[in-house]
Amino acid sequence: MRSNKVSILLEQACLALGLIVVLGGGASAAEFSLKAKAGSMTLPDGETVPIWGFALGEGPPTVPGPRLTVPPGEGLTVHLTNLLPVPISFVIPGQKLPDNNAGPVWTDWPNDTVTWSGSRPEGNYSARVRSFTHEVPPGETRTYTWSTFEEGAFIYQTGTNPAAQVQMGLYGAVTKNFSASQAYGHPDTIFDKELVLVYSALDPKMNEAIASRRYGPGTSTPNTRDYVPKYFLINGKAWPDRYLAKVSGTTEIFVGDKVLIRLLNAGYHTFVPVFLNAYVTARAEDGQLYPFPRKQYALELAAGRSLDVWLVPSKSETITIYDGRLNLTNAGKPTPGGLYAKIPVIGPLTIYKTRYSQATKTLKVFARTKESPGTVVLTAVGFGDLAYRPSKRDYYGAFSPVPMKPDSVTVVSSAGASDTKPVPFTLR
Amino acid sequence: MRKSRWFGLALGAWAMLEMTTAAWTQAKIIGVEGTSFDLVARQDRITLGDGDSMLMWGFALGEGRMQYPGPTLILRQGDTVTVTLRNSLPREAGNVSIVFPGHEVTASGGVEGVLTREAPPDNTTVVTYTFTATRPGTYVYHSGTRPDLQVEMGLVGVIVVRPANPTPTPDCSPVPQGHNEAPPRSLCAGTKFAYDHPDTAYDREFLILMTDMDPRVHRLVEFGRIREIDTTNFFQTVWFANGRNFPDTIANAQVPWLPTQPYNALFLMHPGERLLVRMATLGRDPHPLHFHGNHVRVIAKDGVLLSSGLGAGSDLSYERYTVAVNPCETVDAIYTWTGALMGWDIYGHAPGDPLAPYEFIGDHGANFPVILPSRDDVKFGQLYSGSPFLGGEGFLPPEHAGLNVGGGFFYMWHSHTEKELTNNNVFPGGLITFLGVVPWNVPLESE
Repeated sequence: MRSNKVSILLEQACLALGLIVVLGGGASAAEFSLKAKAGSMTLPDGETVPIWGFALGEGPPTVPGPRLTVPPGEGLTVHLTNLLPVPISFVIPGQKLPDNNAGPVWTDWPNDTVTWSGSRPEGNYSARVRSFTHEVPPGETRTYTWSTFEEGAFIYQTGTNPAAQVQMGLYGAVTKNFSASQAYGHPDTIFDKELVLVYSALDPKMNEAIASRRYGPGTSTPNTRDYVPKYFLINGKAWPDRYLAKVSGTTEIFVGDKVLIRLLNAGYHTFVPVFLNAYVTARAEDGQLYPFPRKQYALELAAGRSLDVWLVPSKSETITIYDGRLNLTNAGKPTPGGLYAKIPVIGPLTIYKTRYSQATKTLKVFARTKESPGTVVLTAVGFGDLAYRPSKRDYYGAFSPVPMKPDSVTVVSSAGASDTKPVPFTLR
Repeated sequence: MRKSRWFGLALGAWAMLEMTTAAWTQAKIIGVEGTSFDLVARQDRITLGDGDSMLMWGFALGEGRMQYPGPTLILRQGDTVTVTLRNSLPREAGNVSIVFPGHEVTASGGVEGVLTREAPPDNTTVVTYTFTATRPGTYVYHSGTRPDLQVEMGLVGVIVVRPANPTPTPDCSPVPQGHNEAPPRSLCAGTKFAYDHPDTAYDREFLILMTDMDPRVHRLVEFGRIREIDTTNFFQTVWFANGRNFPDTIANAQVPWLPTQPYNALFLMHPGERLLVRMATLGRDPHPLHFHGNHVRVIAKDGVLLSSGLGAGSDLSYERYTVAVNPCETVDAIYTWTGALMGWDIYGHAPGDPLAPYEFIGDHGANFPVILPSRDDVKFGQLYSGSPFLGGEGFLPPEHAGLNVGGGFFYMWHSHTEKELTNNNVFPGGLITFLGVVPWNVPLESE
């Protein structure tokens, strides 16, 4: 509790400092310029779906949008340019509304032309809320500022007609940590590695209707009542996309690492991520610490929810996350699809692949180590040293001639670790 | 529609009558104990609560028939367990596998799948799964191959791991007469433990696996139209407790007319006993299991005691009257019932009468709070004993089923997603079962 107080004091100090800096012409806030654009997404079964997404700069939009990282102690400023045909806005559930919000935006339903800001227009009982905060009209840019920002992992998303716009892809993750290696003020929240997994889903029919402006009162798709998601996504990808075969990406996960996994659900339904062959410790929900850690293998990830869980792998193997609610298909096809993701865990020294070619009498050995690149020497016993490859960040040796296929190969490290694997072998 | 409704009611009445042929005394988890299990995936049929017959894929023990759910595997903490799987399903079912969430499993044999190694439908290949049951608790197992179809088709089951420490033999004699606690903490001189802590002591344990079904999928499989199945369109219309729909949930276990649905879901206890309720869900939706008669105290989730630290017991446990269990999750809870604090003597005692076992002393001899209406003014429910008092019996009309021999109190336990209390739109059905609190003079089977 004491550390929470400290962080509040720190925030207040930063706020005061920020004000001073503002007076001086700069802001103590992470600043991002986002563009909302139309684009498309190709799913593993070849289906191409129109999307709306966010981009940092001139590239195509991504779903989810780029991850925004707010440095410890800072606030957030987002300059949002709207290149879509409809007004949008920007909100972060779990944070306050932006400092410069002017109240919700009301519209004269169903014409959707005249708008008001702030309270319901006096005497008008048919006006409806279209946006939770100020909008960005098509072709223009607006700014959203948070002088203070709560620690945790959150979903940012459009705050305009969210039933239609969020599912189009206008969402992403924003995180703020206590320090570079600690998520919250509590010492239990130290981490070595951090992964952000944004869950979502999409119904191509709905996307096509909204993208082609065949959506809204009087059209063939008057609302989202018939939304039935067909594709289920983690960070915008569906199995068997290669990305999900190593969802940890370029972050190598080693045995014993404290891996902070931030699970976020930008979809409209509850998912139940199940960790196979591992337990995780859930420590925070919606940016709020639990009083005590919760050790579970299945987690309830309700729509809009944020869960921070810690995985500490105990051995070199691949940990699979799948959806307990069985959204494990791409549009109902019989082959595996949807919400599968894998985290390969490597030991202090791990042989991750061995191959032998009868034709060329060549034995190939691929390994990784926890030590910094090039600081250890790896030797395949009886064959010779492996060479470090900076491009692959692994150690590799091709030995020839090896007249007979060996049953197994042992690699030893100058740091003392060793590993033995059969030939051929592939770590899964 | 009308016809099928009458048929359902008629069947229900028939099932109720059948139940009277055997006394309700089964009060334990039925499963198979050991360290080595040979499972075979087979196709067979089950009977729904409305009399419909449904094609299923499920696990069988060795050469036995497929059952829904699969055999409950009862393990001892610390044991190394081997489960073999052979796939005897029709070719169009494809490969089959088993995943065991909460356990670190090594798989060998068969072919590699997304989640684990799989057995092709050749009725020959054997896949072997090995793990050590490191923690006590309740767990699930299910197919890890095309689970969106195969879990729906019935390839599901439950694992119970008992703690390694020797279990004291329950000694409930003499039963204490009366108590002043509400509820009492632990009752028998010797008790069993769900986890390695006295907080988890129980006298009797039950299991409820909640599952759901979209019959359209089963029909498409049966009619050779498996390619038309789109599991993203799932729409459940049938809900199960331990593989049965109400009213079959409260029939006895292992009845001959439900050969592929051996497990029932009737909870039975004597007043004052502590029930360990092991809950699990597999399928699509969480099912909010709602308890009548008392709250439950939730002590564990996913096989982990809700504890702030080693030796702290279940200090993070909490009371609930509804527990929603998500698919793949398990929740363990303790339920007690003594009738305490009702404000009237549930046994109908006069103030000078001797106390009943675990009777709440504070209510001893207190008057029944209402005047019972005349027998001509009431409808006699099938589980009414003819008396409002525990252990009491009274007048029942000649056509009454007389199911409540011994004068127990029956509390409905059910999913509070009320739609799930139906069999294909007909109430009552689906995820309904009962807790029967029966007086101590009605013997219950001990484990």
